[in-house]
Amino acid sequence: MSIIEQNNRTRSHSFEKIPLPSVLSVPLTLDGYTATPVVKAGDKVKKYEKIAVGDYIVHSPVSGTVQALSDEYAVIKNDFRETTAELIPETKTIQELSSEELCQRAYQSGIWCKTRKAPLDKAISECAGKVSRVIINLCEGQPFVSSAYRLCLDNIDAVLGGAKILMKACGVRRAVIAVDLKNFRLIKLLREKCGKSPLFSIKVITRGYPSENPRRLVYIVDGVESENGKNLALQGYGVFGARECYDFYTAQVNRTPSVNCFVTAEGDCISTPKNIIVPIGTSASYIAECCGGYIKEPHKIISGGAFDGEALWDSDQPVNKDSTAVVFLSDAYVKKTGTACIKCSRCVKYCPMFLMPLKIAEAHSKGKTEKCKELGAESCIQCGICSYVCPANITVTQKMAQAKDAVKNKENPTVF
Amino acid sequence: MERKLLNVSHFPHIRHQDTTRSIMGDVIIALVPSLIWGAYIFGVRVLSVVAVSVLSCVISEAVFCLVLRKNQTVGDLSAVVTGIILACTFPAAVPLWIPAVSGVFAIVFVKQLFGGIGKNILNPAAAARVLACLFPQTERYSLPFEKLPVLAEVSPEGLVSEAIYDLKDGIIPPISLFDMFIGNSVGGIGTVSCLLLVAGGLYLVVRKIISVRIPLAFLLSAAAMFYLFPKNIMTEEYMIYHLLSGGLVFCSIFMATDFSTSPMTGTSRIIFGAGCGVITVFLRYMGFEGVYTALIIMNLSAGLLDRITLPRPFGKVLSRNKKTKQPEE
Ligand code: SF4
Ligand code: SF4
Repeated sequence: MSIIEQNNRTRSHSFEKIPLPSVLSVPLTLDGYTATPVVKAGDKVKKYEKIAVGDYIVHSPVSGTVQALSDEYAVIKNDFRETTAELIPETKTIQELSSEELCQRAYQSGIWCKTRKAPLDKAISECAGKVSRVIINLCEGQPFVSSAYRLCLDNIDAVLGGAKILMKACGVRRAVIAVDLKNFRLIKLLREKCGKSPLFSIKVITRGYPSENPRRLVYIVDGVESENGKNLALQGYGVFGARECYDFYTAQVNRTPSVNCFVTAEGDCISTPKNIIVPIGTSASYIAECCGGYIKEPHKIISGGAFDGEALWDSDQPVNKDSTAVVFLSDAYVKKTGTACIKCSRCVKYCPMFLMPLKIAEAHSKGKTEKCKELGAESCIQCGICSYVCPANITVTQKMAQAKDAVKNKENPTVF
Repeated sequence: MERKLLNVSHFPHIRHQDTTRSIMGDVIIALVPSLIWGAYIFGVRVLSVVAVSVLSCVISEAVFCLVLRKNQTVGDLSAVVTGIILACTFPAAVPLWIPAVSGVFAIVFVKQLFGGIGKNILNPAAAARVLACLFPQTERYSLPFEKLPVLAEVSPEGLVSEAIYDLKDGIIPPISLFDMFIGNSVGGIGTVSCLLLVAGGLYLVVRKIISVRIPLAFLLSAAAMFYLFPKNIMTEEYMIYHLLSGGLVFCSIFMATDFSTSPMTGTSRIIFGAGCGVITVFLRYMGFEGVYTALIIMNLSAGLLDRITLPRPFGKVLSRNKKTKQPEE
């Protein structure tokens, strides 16, 4: 079984709404995609009004005034009136809509596909007509995070409904729902809801983290090794997560765009960990306040899971469309001692991509990029397990990232 | 107000709690029962052998690091583990200067000159033990419950050879198999009790510190060899006596699984263990106490084994990709 210790105190907590923050700084970029503001500083905006359009659309999560605008953030002062912009009415039923129209709907609703790390419309148009298999990814193996699990448990109909819309958009008639073994409540619920449905088959995943990684998931579900650097959709697979399904369903049925985040607020620095629904742009420090405030000085605040999340450098940084968790960790989680690599081979044993991380790290530090490539540095999915298990406290994952970049740059040198 | 910046780092943001020191500590814990048993049957002298060996290893590591201005690495406990493992292989009656000299050799020449922890090619304890075999005083075993002086040199009278020396002539030694198994027999201070060694090994396996592949492959291949090429008509009994004698169990569990000198991939570990077993039998039939030498020979091949059994990285070789399955309708 997995070596990762689970530390999920929030698995039994349903999602709660927290009081809206008075100021939000809504991010306008995400994973290299940008949106350009269509409002000006000082404008009044309504809830659900578009404030930036580009690769994807950002809607205002509250009503209020735009205080400041930059390339990266739109700062909105909340007026707490909740005046809602007019929503685009829909005349057709889902069955009548074509794939393009559904794509358009996804785009207009500003839905983000966390699995593909791209706007959902892009992910769908890649998949439409090309994929033969859709996998609905309900796996969630990282410590601290339970947002996808709770989202499914609380809104199973919406998630399944969204999955059906996605299947329609991709032109696929059957989908596999992949769900972790530890989420037996969810498995039971899924069996009740769609055990006999011809649309879905349920696949219980026993391997633990990083099953949620799409390439790994395809391997576990079908035994197919996807090619490095090639889009999964071109290899016949469309993988979507719970958030996408849920957002697509609400966009289609309630007509509301995606402006909220479903995040788990966890960590040893806050007194009451919770699953909360927060508008995009809420700062991490505000989330901490809503969860009982700090009981310890936070050492790191992580947006995302403790394994592959990003450490925030400032507690005022906001949550974005793809946030799944905000984890507040004290320095009790810092491993303070380290030695030279003792060749314990744990990184080899636990690497999900069958690599030899220590050998690649070593080759990279000696500048042997060719050797890194030979050893398969490109296959690394940056799951973080090798650093996690290393008793010598070597930052193997980081070295793998550098080695991977070095291999990539050697093939397509970036000109600055 | 000045904003307080937080710490950032590359993910992952949490670590497993095992450290180099805790792993070495676990190895020590696994060895303690055998040593206590050794002290019980061979007397207090056992403790002085262990103390001399550990001190000599730790002091040579500390001095080496001081002299070469390297970071002090005594704290990771690996020198202590080397010292204890080395001591375990000696008989209780060994003159105390032998563990002292072997300890210095193990740490300075076998470990540190190759670059320290994780970089050595030979198992320090095994190499030092093979060196110690060159001194005739090493291989003098005392009978269980014989009174030995704590520190002074033991007089050679009354000392016997190990069970293994009977076995190589094809004679079954006059000790029952049960006594051999629980350790009421002649042998190294930490290697006599196979029962406690296996218990220690299981502890390490449960704590995920060693994998069972090397010890199992080692023992099974040795057993198969003894079975296929017996020197005695009572084949099974002869085989079991061989397996239980002469530090074979100890070496397979605690020495062959040493991290830096054993290979890393699953397949290569099996080959490595099997190789150790076969060479051990070969050497024993030639008349040497073969386990430690066999281990050193296989140590040399660890890097090569790793290279030829390199796991194929995920998604790298395209031709072996299965075709995308069609969804079952
Ligand atoms: S991050 Fe480490 S464990 Fe994960 S795929 Fe890359 S090398 Fe393997
Ligand atoms: S886990 Fe760390 S110490 Fe162990 S082999 Fe990998 S890099 Fe070396």
